[in-house]
Amino acid sequence: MNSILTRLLKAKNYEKMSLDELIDEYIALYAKNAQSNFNDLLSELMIFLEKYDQNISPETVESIFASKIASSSMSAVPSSAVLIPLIYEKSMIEGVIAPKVTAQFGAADERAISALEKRMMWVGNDSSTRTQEKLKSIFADVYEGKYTHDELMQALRENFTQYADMEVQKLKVAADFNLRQGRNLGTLSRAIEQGDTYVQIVAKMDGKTTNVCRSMHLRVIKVSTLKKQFDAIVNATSVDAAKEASNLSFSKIGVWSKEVPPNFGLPPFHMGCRTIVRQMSADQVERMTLDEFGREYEILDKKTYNKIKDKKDHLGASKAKSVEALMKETLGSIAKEGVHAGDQTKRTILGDNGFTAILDKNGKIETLFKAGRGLDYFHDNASEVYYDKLDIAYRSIGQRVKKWLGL
Amino acid sequence: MARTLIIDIMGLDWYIESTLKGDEGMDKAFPMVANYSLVDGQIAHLHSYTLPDKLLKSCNDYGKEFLERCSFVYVPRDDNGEPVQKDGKVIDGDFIDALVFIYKELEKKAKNG
Repeated sequence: MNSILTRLLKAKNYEKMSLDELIDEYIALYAKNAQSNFNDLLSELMIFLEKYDQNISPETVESIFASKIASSSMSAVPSSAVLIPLIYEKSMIEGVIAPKVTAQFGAADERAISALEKRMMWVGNDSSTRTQEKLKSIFADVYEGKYTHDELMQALRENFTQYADMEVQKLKVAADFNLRQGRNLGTLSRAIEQGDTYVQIVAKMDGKTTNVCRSMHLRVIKVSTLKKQFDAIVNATSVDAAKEASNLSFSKIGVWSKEVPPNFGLPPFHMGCRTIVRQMSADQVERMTLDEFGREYEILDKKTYNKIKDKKDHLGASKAKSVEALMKETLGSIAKEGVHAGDQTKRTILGDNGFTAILDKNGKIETLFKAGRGLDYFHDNASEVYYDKLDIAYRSIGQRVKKWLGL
Repeated sequence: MARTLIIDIMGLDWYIESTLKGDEGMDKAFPMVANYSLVDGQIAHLHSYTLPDKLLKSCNDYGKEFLERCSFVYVPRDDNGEPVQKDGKVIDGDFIDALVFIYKELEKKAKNG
């Protein structure tokens, strides 16, 4: 759990605090630790609130939080207009299913409910009309905020007695997949309606993140690219067609090309996938810098920028004329990428130029330098290498040779 | 007379810097550290990102260069990355002592978020 919340729990008997006091305390602790990532704090808060009291009215949370933020003098705290969609997004990533905190949540979920009406759903191999109707009704209740996660599991068990013995985890994964796909369809539907040009893919980065989610994390994709897959999922007339349209074929290898393959790009990318779609404005996309595979990156902060500019082993070890040029050169042509050995939320990237970049879970560059030990340093600092350009090239050549030889 | 070197910590990058110029290359590999250079058998420069336990534990396996006793000057940086001279300190010891000091500083940083 986030250190702020841990401190909060240790310092106070939170069960005796009113919601008002709790949020006050939270904001005060946040202010003392302004370097923390606000997104992380929000997701922690959502989980915490769910555990704190499931009967809190969502509207109460929203209004108290938003008014406190609005009256706060902290410039680092985003406005409620920014905050509310962030809470929604974080609640999806963290798997908090019933945080219907605001009317804006409802707006997104209305699209999910609308998409739900047409979608094919299944539990195991059962896709009968009766099963689909039951599922749709349960999921509609979830989108409307009637169920918590635990209550959803109970509802599924009650409605699908034939699956009573099914392993709880398996049932949960199936339900999560359908719910998350529904919500992502809802978000994309909203982006289409609002005439957005781009969306961004956002994964939850930790030790469980799969290769495909790492390859897609922070990728900016044209809405028009996803429209075909969206239509295929929504208009599928059989479970097989819905499964095919969901396209889970990249779950192990990831997508290592600038353009996403046709009929792919809309999460979930696999069972248990926590990745979501985020709406983007054209202005946001214009300001972004993207790596070789179209994933957003930026420098962590001014201090990091100065470090790369001034210290030996960084810009000084390169022919690049600026920090921006060095970042572009390194992340514009990636040789290898892996999970950072010391922190699974981070990525270790080796550029074709021999520079190593360490990116945090939000795509922020924490450091960028040339290691004298090059490849050895990369392998020491990547616990799992999930992209290797040379390896992919060798495999591709091998396949072509086999084809020529008719093997 | 013992040499004086500078310890600098910026983010999770750490550096041990000297005024020695030149580079003997990487013929003596120092596992896990990003950059390591020797001049006339003396450590001229060390740099890496984070300092894993594994690195500290394996210090014994490295050459006698790490046992050279020096004065290491450390000036912490504030939130803007500016040095805070008044909080500066000097660590007298060998390079292993310096690495242990850096390890503890990084640990403090991690605890304070």
